[in-house]
Amino acid sequence: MSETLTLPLWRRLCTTPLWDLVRGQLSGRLDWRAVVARANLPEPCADAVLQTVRKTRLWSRERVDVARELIGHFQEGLAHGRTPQQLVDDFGDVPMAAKLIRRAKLRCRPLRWQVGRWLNRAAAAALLLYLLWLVRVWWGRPSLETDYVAIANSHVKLAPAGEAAADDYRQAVATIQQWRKAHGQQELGYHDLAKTFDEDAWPQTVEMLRENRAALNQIRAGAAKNRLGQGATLPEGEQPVDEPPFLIAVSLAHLNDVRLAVALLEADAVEAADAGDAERVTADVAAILAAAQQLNESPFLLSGIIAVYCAERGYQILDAVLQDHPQLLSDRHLQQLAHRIAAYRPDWTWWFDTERLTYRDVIQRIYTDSGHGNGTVTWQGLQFLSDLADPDNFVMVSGDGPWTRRNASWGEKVARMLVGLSRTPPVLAVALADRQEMASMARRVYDYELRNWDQPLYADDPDDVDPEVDINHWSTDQRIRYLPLTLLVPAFDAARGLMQRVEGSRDGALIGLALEMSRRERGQWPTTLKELAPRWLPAVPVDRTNGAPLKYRVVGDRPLVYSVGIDLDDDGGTPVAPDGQHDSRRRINLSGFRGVAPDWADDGDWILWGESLPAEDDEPDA
Amino acid sequence: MKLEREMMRGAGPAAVLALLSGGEKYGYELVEALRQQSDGVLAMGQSTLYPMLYNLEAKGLVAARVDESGPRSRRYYRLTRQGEKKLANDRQQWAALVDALRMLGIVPAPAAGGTS
Repeated sequence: MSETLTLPLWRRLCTTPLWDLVRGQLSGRLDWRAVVARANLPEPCADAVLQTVRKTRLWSRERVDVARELIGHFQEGLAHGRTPQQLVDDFGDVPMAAKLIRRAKLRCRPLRWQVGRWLNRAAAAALLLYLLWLVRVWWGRPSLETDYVAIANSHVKLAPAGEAAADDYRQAVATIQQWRKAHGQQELGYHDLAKTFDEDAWPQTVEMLRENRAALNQIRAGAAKNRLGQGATLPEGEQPVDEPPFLIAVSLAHLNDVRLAVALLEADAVEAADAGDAERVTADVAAILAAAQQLNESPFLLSGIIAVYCAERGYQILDAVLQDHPQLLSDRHLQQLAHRIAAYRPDWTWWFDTERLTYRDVIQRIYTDSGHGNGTVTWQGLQFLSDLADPDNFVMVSGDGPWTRRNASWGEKVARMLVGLSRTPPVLAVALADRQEMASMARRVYDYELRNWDQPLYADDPDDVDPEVDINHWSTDQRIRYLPLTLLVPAFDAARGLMQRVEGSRDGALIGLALEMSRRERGQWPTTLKELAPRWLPAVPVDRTNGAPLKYRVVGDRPLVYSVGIDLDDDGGTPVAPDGQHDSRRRINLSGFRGVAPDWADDGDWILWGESLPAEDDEPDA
Repeated sequence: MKLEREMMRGAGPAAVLALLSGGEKYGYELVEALRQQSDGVLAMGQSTLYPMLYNLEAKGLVAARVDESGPRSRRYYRLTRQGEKKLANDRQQWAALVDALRMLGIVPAPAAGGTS
């Protein structure tokens, strides 16, 4: 026995209970080795006690208790005449004794310790599972097997060189841009188009049009072709070598060419009307509608938005020409244009379907593929997703365009939060739904969003809301669980609002042409729209917002046809936009419409034909 | 004869409770009593007895007190009320078990005129 009874100060300090210290006693009561040493047991017995107590790995206080009990046992045995060796032999296996004593003593500990022990075990188990999950995530690789860009472009009609309208638009726009540059004029941009009609700029615009007849002819020639010949492309140098291109990274640059070409046709129609050239006016308006029709080839909702924007420009320029030059267009021209307008069919189904490709492509980039429809999230997928969630990289959640969600700020908040989380992608790995669930939810969300896109607004059911799949009703948990959907699903309700408004404008254009033909034949405007059918229209369209007859008035010597708009309130022909002009860029959010005007609905009417009335005041109707 | 570990695991606690029903005892006393009163069949070393006592204490069947009045410090164990109930229950179960073993011929029937 090598223990001494005099303990060093530090050892006494370490083995003195707090209560003794408070009382100023450096007792060293918890030094179980000293307790054994003080017992003066024969060495074999003392060793057995020391070994046993040491191996129990209990608290000091518990060890002291155990040591005292074992010492007492050996002392009793010695007092009863047993030899130390006999007692050690009877003692049994030291490690086993220590193990059993530890187990039993732990059961004697307080309940709060027991609870803490189980909580620690649970945390350790969770950590272990998490680490295993991370290993799985780390090892998983996304299976990029499908080229969704190719699918998105499957409606693009292959055209031999020179047969694609997109080439004509691109070349003609480039020619005119070069001419403007050479003449010290600013390059024509989408946001500057309205300025070309300003009184000050109009002479320059006319000069540009007269100097570029060939380019305008090329645009009209392009519109006469039945192929656009251009789909989504990747920006130069970004075509991946060993994997399918990323659908969301594609460029739709041709849309800008089409939009600019239509703007030039629009200006040319006004110039032609001023020059008394009815044939050119008719050709320009027909070309505008043909260009819009060609965009049926082009994928994604954005193509649809540009297409109907173009078509609406055609209706509006026709409206303006008939207002300023009522006698310019002959009945033949009017009939020709009416047939052209009636024939225009935007392919919303295709545009919406190609939007679904986006989530499919994103899913294949995030998850492994089990081959049975399921898969787990991958490390690469998480990195990809964190890039996608970065508002600096992704405009769909942060912009204010007509295709962004009304709650874009919400999306942005979530996105920013997840960018923060993505600094530690493992957190996201646990939160995200697996591949099967994600794909299933995506299908449900898209089906829900598109369930009634082609029905008029008045047919909407106010109770037709499913919070489980309506992203606008999702909780934060759901937004994180289905993050790709939170980020990617466009504001279909806004697109539908635009579609319904432009379809209304088409109804208005057809009614406007019928009104003009009726006036010419009868010498006066009809008193009601009903008089137009069936002589000039097969049937008079109704208001798409409420199913009632469209509003019709004669203001001055011009007819005014309008819808009451989604506030469902007749504002007497005062438009929604404050400047009194149709504004195609103004988003029409239908979230919460469902056939009942939401509180936030813009006050004002949708002007479908004729010059709108100026707003009397800015106060919304009660 | 010594019992196999599995049998000892069942019989040991009941034996300790039974010994304590006669009054409080300290560890060495229990070891000796088990060895002598069971003719060595239920003899157990410290490595088995003390963990068993701590387990019984954790379950509330026995309670301990330290007596330092004598020449040696002793830790005395006594039955609690819960321990008494447990012992009573154990007695019934062991009796039923012995009866069943007897009916199966595993335990020989008592000699005529003897006590069971």
